Amino acid sequence: MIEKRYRVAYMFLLPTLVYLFGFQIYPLFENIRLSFTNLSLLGGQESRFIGWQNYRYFLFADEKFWLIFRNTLLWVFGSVLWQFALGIPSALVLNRKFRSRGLWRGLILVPWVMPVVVVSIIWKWIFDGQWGILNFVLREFHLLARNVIWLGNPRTVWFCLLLASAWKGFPYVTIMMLAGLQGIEKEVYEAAKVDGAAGFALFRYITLPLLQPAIFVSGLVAIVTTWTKFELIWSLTEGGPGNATSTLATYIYSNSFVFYEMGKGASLAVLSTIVVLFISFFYIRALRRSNV
Amino acid sequence: MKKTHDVLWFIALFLVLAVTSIVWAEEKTTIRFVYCGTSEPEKAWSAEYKKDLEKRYPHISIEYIYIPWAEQEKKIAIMTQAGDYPDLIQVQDVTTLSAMGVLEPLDAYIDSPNSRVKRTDFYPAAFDYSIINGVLYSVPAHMTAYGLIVNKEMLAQAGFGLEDLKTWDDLLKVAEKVTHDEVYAYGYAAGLPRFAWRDAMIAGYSNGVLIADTSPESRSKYIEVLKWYEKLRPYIPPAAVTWSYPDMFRAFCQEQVAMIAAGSFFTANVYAIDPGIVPKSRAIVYPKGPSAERPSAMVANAGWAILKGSKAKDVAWFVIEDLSERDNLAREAAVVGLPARRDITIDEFADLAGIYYPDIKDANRQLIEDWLSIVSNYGVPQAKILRQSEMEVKFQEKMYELLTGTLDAEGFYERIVKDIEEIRKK
Repeated sequence: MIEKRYRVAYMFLLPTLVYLFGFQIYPLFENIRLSFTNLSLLGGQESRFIGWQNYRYFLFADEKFWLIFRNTLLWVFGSVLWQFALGIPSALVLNRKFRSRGLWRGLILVPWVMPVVVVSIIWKWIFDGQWGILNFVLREFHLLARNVIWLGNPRTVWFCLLLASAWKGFPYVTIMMLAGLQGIEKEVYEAAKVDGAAGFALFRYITLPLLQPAIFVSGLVAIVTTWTKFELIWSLTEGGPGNATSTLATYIYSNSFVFYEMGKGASLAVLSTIVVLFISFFYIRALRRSNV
Repeated sequence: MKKTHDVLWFIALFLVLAVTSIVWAEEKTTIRFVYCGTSEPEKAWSAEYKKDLEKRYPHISIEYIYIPWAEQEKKIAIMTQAGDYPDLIQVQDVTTLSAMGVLEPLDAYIDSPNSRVKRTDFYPAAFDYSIINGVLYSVPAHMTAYGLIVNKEMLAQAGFGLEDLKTWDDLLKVAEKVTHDEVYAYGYAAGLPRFAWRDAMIAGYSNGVLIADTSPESRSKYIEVLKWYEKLRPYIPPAAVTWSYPDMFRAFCQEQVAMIAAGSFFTANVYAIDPGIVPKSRAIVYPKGPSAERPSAMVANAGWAILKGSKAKDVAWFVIEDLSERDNLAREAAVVGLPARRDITIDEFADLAGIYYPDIKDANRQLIEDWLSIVSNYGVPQAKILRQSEMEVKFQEKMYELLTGTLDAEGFYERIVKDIEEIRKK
């Protein structure tokens, strides 16, 4: 029996527990169960247990899986690196004192709070091969003789996708870095200056090491959120041409909700979860080893 | 005593009201209706129809669930898996939904002596599209015919008329003359699997081959279709490999392409971009390929179906009968397509379409005539292909390579045969 004095506390916990069980734990286990079946919404056959068959198919027989897996790594790590490449300098700038700093700190959040679909439309307008703003500007300045099909060329499509993703995600990194920067005592910089450090040396030996906790935490969050980010690629290229820009997230969607192969889609989702768990595990281990 | 008396009276009154409300509720049936037309004219039509029906039949009420076409199958799959069955649904290709087992067969309803709708009311090509393995799953409302839409002014400037487009070779001759600077002859929405496949379906029909048919007998005709796209490549804008339908229509409206393979929904699609393109446009049957004796045009339909799990099937059928009444059907079809019923005259239909497209009434009438002539002379029901969306992805992937010059027709064929056969085995 629950002790009387804890009853109210458990009652407050109940809604969260019900939510977690109903919308997190149960779907997770149901997804794992489905991944061992051949459930297809087409064909009218009852689903049956088929063991590891779906997993074997993707890992050893599907000619696209490893290309898509490689695309996913490129998408996730490329996006995160770009987000940091933009986010850290932005945070350094916004940490300085200048006029209307509060306004700029607010404005920098605009891409982050903008709906993904809107972001996708904007970037589609920029990169469009026929009417795109980028081609227009480059041609106006005589830097291009003919339009470039940015989203239809394997050599440029990933650059465009990563740029769009970085633009959408970098404000989050900026805010996290800004919080980290504000936690660094001024005395540390003053002491370093007394020792002769200046300019880039201050950044390299003071700012960056002291920002490490914020970098690690926001890096992990950025990896996990980008791993599951699906709408941006889907809106810009639908994972195409063919599967050239498909990631595991778009491949799960295609298998489940375009081809209606629910068993296969579920097994892909499990594989995707396992990979992201592995990455997180090694990331956290590295974080602990570095005593951050 | 008085208090007890009052309480008893109150309970009695409450029971009477409760029973009355149940009876009224039972009398009035609410039909949950999945409607996929999300453009403003379509929404206006749906609201108008609901108002009209509820006025004529006070015991029926319609509750619309608006789902865009692109989302329809996915949403229905999820809803029905969760046991949530709407009553009525607007459908196009019924292959996937019937394979999911969520549609009610309608043969018993339409063949009933009391039915207000008869099979013979409709154009055969449009009606047959609703039948899968001999079972009728929907009643057509409007039909969609596919063909080649031509900017006649651009053709005239190059020294050609519509009558010069009879064969693929003719089309190539025209394409050569029309293409210059950054103006191209042929627009192709090759950026999305659905449209990359559809264009090839249209061309395939005009060469006597279905592009899902990978049998050895069809091999040469199939490769001819692929070679056709190889030949067309210089006349297709390079950006077309990323295009979807709106991009293709925009390029056509801006006269950056002179011809597109599309359907009778053309007016509805270009009207918002530039109505001025309609008077310059004509629809003709897609020119015939080298292996066809005569061209063919695929014809599909959009219509109404009943969900198997509906608890008000008879009322849903009653609404379908009402929707299929001559006047109601003509009004719905006038928004977006061609009437699926044969007894609606061109004059009457063009007038109704004029309500939605007032400033291009005459030009649109010409297009309606073109499309109806295509249906009558060349129309065949569009093939219904199970797991088509999976085939489309494989097809588009290779079409991209073909259009960018990294794959030839023979290589394309060898790979697509393997892919389609694998999909078929499922």
